[in-house]
Amino acid sequence: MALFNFSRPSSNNGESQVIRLLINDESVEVSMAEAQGKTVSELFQQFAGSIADVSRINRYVAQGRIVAGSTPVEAGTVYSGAVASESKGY
Amino acid sequence: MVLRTSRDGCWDIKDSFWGRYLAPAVDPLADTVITDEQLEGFEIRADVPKIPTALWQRWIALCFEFCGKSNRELEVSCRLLRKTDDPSVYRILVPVQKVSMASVRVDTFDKAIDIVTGETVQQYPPPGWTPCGSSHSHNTMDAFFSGTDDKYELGDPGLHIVVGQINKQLGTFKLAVSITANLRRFLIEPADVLELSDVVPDVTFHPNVLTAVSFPSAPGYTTALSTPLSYNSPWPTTDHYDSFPSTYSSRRVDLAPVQDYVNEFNAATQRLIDAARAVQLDPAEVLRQMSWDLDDQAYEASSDPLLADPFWYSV
Repeated sequence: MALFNFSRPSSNNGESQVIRLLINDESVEVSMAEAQGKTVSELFQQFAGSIADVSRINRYVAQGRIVAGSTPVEAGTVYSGAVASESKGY
Repeated sequence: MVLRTSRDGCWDIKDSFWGRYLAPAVDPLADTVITDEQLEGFEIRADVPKIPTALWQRWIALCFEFCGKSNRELEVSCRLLRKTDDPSVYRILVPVQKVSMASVRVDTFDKAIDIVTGETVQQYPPPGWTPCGSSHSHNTMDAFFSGTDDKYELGDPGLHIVVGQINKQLGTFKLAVSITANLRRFLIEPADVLELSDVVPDVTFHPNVLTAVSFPSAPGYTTALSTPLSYNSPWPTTDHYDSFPSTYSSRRVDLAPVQDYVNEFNAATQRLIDAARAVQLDPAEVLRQMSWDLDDQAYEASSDPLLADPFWYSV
């Protein structure tokens, strides 16, 4: 009966660094505890869905350089997601 | 025992005859009541930098350019950006796009023209600039946010503006202005984000932006009056403009299954001719103008509509 054993969100060997996800002017911060072992696209999918349509992000940028969505995230890094296509209609 | 999570609310472990499970719970430490008005509202910051008139009027001039030039009323779209280290500085890029009377399709923002300098941008967003929204024209149609606009703008947080009800004779237009955030749209007033001072004389879009916009070619058929299409063409044939293929096909289709609708269409056309004559309009000119609209509708109804999702992924 170990299903309902819970951990605290900040408990990860004292890791306190955050990762910042940007889409346009909106941002969300994710603790490294929650980001550990995830890729850039996984992080956007999991944590940025409330600020943007992450399914339409087709480019990720970190420190001015384009990075693949499959890149493992690094603590203290700011990642930008960019939407780069659209349609408009009456 | 209530479990309080960082993003997923409060939960309680429920015990039933069959076992245990998690169920949503009231937060025992709740200290705030939020009204529906507050939940649905948006309070714009008083110090939001406004888009300067000298920049905005270039965009409006482009909307006018593509609206009603001779007989054609087309949409056009642009991207709004702000300088990352000085958010008060705005920039407008016109991406390479296909436009029609009622739609715009942008396959990639990576090919775009600066509306002020005419510079070509090869990578979006350009270094040092942060995307902050978009604007597009509804030409003479109403200024509002359509379902298609919602599909692409709600998830693209920022400032989104529709320019509509363009009247070239009076030089007037209407704006629908919104901020999108949290996958929602909040309507705001134009004056909240635009400097609405007097128009700056002789300021318009850089001519290079015209190379970014393509539109359906002239209808590939002649009217019943056999008027040559090259006659009094409503579009200039300068190098500024590009076009993509008309939906015209030489194949004849069997209209029998939709014959009733064809009859209605022909009857309506005859009523239009009669109405035009009654007000001293040349019926041939009216029908010629309608042929543009028909061609746009044919393109929209084709198997490669502009509204298909242009999504792509790049590393």
